[in-house]
Parts: sequence; structure tokens; C-alpha cells
Amino acid sequence: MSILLARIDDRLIHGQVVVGCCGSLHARRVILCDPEVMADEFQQRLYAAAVPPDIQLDFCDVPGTAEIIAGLGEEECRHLIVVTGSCAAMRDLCESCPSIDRVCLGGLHHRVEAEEVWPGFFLDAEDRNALRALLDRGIEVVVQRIPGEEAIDAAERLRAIDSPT
Amino acid sequence: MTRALILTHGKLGRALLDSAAHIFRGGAEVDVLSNEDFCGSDLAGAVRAWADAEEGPVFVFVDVGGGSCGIAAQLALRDRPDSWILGGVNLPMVLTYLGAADQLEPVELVSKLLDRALNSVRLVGDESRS
Repeated sequence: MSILLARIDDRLIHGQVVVGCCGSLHARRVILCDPEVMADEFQQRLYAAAVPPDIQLDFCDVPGTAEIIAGLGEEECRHLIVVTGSCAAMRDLCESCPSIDRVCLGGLHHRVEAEEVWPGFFLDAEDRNALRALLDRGIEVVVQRIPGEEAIDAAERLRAIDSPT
Repeated sequence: MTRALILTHGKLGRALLDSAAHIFRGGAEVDVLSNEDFCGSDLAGAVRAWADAEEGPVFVFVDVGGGSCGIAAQLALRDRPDSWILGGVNLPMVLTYLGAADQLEPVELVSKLLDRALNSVRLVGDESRS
């Protein structure tokens, strides 16, 4: 039983998620899996205002997200989007959520010590390690900003980056 | 005197300001920032640094209030009561700011900006077809 979309995006919830993903994929529920937002009511209000009222929005940390997913039925999972702000958070979530079999890199922008691996997508060493851990678990990792855009399989490039020459 | 920043996706902000310069010369100074290549927290940090560079009231014009620009602006200015964030920036809003920023108090300016921007969104021509 897979969820609709597991997305890594350092901007968390924004136009691409609300319009590009929720709209075109007909999501009914979004879990923003981010402990900082979970602890900050001001940020929660901002993100809640960005999401249409007919979509349920939850703010959770990794254990809370895993608990919610574990309690969902197949139909509910089919309409669920989970967003994490980092690769490490998604790795941690996938360790306790076997229902996530595909992860989408939706947005990882320029940061100090991060290198551009795909156009507009920047990874640092921690990101790469986390994504390789996902691949090692048999999880498919793709690079795709919005549904409809070509999904690039991340595996080959990720494995090539740090392999000995 | 207020300061203003146009904060948008891609090159929209620069294009708005350049287009405004074809219609109106002079007036208030406006800065531009694109969300390109910024992660969410860095974008908020860039807005905060811009706002803190000088004292006084600030206006931030964003394209989509609930998008990354609007959220970054709100995060950056959450502790600044002398700041106003306006979503849905369009050319009439920018032109109004350029012409009126040095003539009105911020609260009056907000009202005028919203009035001009909202009234510009309408069916043009035969309004009986609406």
C-alpha cells in the first residue's frame, strides 16, 4: 500500500506543492513532517493558509507522521502527500514507514557546501548519504519538481558521485 | 519614507520594475529579489537582511501570498510591526507605489495600493459580457 507522494522540498509547502501536486494528483491530505514547524504556531498558520480548505493538513515530526500513516487505510494512503524539508528526515521516515516505496526530490535549492547534482537541485554530503540509504532499502528516488515533468531516476547519478574512480 | 522590495518567482519582479520604468520615471526606490536558487530559510534570511539594512517602514510585494515568496516574507518580518506584505503584485500596484510612496503614510499607502491593484483586475471593454 503506497502513499500518493513522498516529497522532499526545502521550501516545504508552496505553489508547486499546492497547485502542482495537490491539484493535479487530487490529494485529500498533506502531512508536513517538520519538527520546527510542528513547534511553531506562526509557521503553521502560514502553511495552513496556503493549502485549500478541502485538504486536511497535519503538522508532525517523523514519529508522528509514521504513526498516522500506519493507521491509514489503502484509500486514505492513495490520497496522502507527505512533505519533508530534508533528505535525512525522509530517510528517517522511510525507516519506520514501509508503505513509502517511492520518494520524489521536489526542491533542494542552493545552500552552503551543497553541489548542484541536477539542474536546480543541490545536495550536500548528508543529503547524498540519506538518499543512498533510501536506495539501499529498495526505495525508488526520482527528481521531479511537479507531476507531469519528466521524472529523473536519481539512482545512477547518486551512486556515481561518490564511487571510487 | 518607506522602502520596498518586490519578491517574486523567477524574473517577474525585475520585469515588473523594468516595465514600470517605461511608464513612470522617478519616485520611490524599489529593490528586487527572486526566489530562484534560495531554499526557504535562506530566502527568509535574505528578506530579513534587506529589511534590517535600514530603519523605517518596509513594504514587500510578493506574487503569490501563499507561495514560497509570501511565506518567506512573513517569516522574515514576523517581528516587524512596521512592515507590510502585499500579495498579487501587478504593474498598477508597482506604479502606484512609485508615485505615492513619498506622499502617504504607510497605512494610507496600503489602502491606495490595494485599491489600484484590485481595480485593475477587471474585464476590459464591453463589461456587459461579464
